[in-house]
Amino acid sequence: MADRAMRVVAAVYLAALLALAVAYHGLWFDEVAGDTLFAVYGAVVVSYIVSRFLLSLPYRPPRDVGHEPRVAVVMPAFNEQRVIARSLRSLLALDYPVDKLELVAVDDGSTDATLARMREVADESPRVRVIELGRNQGKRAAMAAGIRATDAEIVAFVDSDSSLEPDALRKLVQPFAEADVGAVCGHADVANVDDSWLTRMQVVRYFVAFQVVKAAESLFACVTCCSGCFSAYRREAIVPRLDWWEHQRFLGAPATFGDDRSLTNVVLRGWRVRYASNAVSHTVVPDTLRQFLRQQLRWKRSWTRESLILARFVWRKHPVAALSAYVAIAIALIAPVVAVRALLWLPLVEGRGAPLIYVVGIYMLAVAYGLYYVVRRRTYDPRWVYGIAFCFFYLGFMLWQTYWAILTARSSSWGTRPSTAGRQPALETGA
Amino acid sequence: MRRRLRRAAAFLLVPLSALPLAAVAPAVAPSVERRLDELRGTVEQAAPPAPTRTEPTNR
Repeated sequence: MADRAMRVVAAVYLAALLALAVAYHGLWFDEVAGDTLFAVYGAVVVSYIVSRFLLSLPYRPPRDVGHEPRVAVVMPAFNEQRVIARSLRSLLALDYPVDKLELVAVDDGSTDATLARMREVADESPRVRVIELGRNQGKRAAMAAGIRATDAEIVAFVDSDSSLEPDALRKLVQPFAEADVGAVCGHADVANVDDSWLTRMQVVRYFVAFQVVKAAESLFACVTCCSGCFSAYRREAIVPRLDWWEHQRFLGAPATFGDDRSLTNVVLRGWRVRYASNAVSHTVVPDTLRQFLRQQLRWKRSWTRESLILARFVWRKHPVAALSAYVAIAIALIAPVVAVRALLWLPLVEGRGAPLIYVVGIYMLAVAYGLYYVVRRRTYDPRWVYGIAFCFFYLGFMLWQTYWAILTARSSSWGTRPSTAGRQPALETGA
Repeated sequence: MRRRLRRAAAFLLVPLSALPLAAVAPAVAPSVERRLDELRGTVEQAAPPAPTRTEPTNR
């Protein structure tokens, strides 16, 4: 009852906040329109954000149509001895016909006890097949080995630090009943929510990335990144480009990370790609600042590379999906310039502008995201407040990574592990 | 009891999040008022500067 009341309070507050923002903007409309950069940027950003929310509203998770294709679940792992057994056991608990399900664990030359843990689980259940790569070759090689080891119609990938709800796979494969769907992205929740302030901050971010952005993209069957945490692909859609994808190069250097965004691009070119919000996985997110910032830098580097590829073909998709993709790329490129101009250049150099208004705008946006999170969840979760902190954290740290990521997009360095080919992320949600 | 208090405090987060906005309101309100007056056309225009006298003084 209290939760329901809180959702209503949050909804009213959210509506008031949006009305306030519109009214305030309206007051200075002609002033804002006089500053071309702010006018264009403001209009585009507001339209983009509002459109994501509006387009996510009619989104409905795929219905269970009783589709049961043969599926292989591939779980690549490198030095994941702490979590691999638990993750593999979550696959064994999947509610899916045993004769239509293959479970493949691929050890990418781990130097810890990952392989031993995999074999322990395989000894408990012969349904788990273990593939050893011998030496560390990278996540793409491990995933490709998993694909080649089966002939299942659908290949699903689960990160080694992600675990699945028992009904997750059944729900993930339902969209494949449509013959032109080539890939489906599952939903990822944060598993280690209360590990640190940083993991709490990521809760709202994951919610927005999946329940808002991917849901909106799914409306046009044009999801631009099937998360590495949990996604499935139609074999027919990936096999023709498997060699290219496995050995993808960018500016002469091997593309070692961003495997999920890259594989999505391979499929999206000729197929439809959907999101299944009811196919739930739980994934471990970075809990230290150093680990988190390096993960974000990797994601931005792969975003740079894959955005160049996406931009070359997405215009052939639904016009709204194409426009959204181009706008999202443009916003990410321009946002740091606008922040510098609003917070530093205009007040300090030109002696005009209103940095306070910019910061209040960010605050209102963060509160709006948080309130939306409260409204959409059945139970009230006070962690939404960390989402507000996250927006300022983003402004302070992550916004500036964009240009560094572009300048170093060629890098294949993992950042947190020794520089070998196989330092592939267990966490690649590519948000 | 403690759990209830924590839950109540958690619920307070929604109204409390309006505090920062209320805190900056005094800084924003005067400019809003001025702007509304401008839009209504009721704001008094500043008197134009007095023209420079060019005619010869009457000596």
